[in-house]
Amino acid sequence: MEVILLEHVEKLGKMGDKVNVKNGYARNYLLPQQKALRATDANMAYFEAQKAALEAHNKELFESASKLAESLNGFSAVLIRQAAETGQLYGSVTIRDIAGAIKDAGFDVARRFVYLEKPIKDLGIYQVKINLHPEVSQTILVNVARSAEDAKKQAKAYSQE
Amino acid sequence: MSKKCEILGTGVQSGNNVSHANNKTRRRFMPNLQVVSLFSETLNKVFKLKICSKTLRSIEHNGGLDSYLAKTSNTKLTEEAKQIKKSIQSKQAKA
Repeated sequence: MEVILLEHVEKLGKMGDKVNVKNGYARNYLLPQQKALRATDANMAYFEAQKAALEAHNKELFESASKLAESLNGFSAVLIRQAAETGQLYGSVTIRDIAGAIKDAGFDVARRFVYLEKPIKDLGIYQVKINLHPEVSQTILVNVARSAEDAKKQAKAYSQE
Repeated sequence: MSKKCEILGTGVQSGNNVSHANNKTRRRFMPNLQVVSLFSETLNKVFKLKICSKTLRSIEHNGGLDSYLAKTSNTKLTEEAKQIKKSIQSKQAKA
């Protein structure tokens, strides 16, 4: 199906691009989330008419994302977990936990922004990418430790590296 | 659950299996029903419907649920589809 994008979509294109996507991707994701419109003549005309407003809206999103990215710069989330002697966690740290920790610190970051390939299963410090906007991302540190003291020790060791 | 398309009402048809020796046994032809979520731009709402794959094809061909319902005559639609059409039309009339 041919659609026109109303905002920048990662791996697909920027706003105003006319792209070919699978029917299901458009039907289930792009259209309901209002990220795209079907590329019909009426919609093209509507898009041209709304272009300025959409651009302003996108710019606003981009700016708020960059502001958030700046404030998140150097942020590190500390998560206290029980672990075995070998450093293996009893359980795991998932996207949900990280998003919760960021939220508790007072940042407005939705769970879907946190990019984690697989759950953290060991103690240590990890770099986690936060995709705030298709063009804006920020790396934060996630410090998984047995206790607050251990977390500090780990952070110190990490910063010396 | 009834095996019916929720937009066009396409249902089960019946016919014969015919063997080489011309023996006839009754059989049923099932509609190809799929559960899909269709988004209505006018109502800004997602409808989850069990529809026939052929109906879905027509909907895509006509550029979405709204324009498909607008183009299809009421005699062809089921009660449920008519209601969706009606709410879309009343919203459009207001706008």
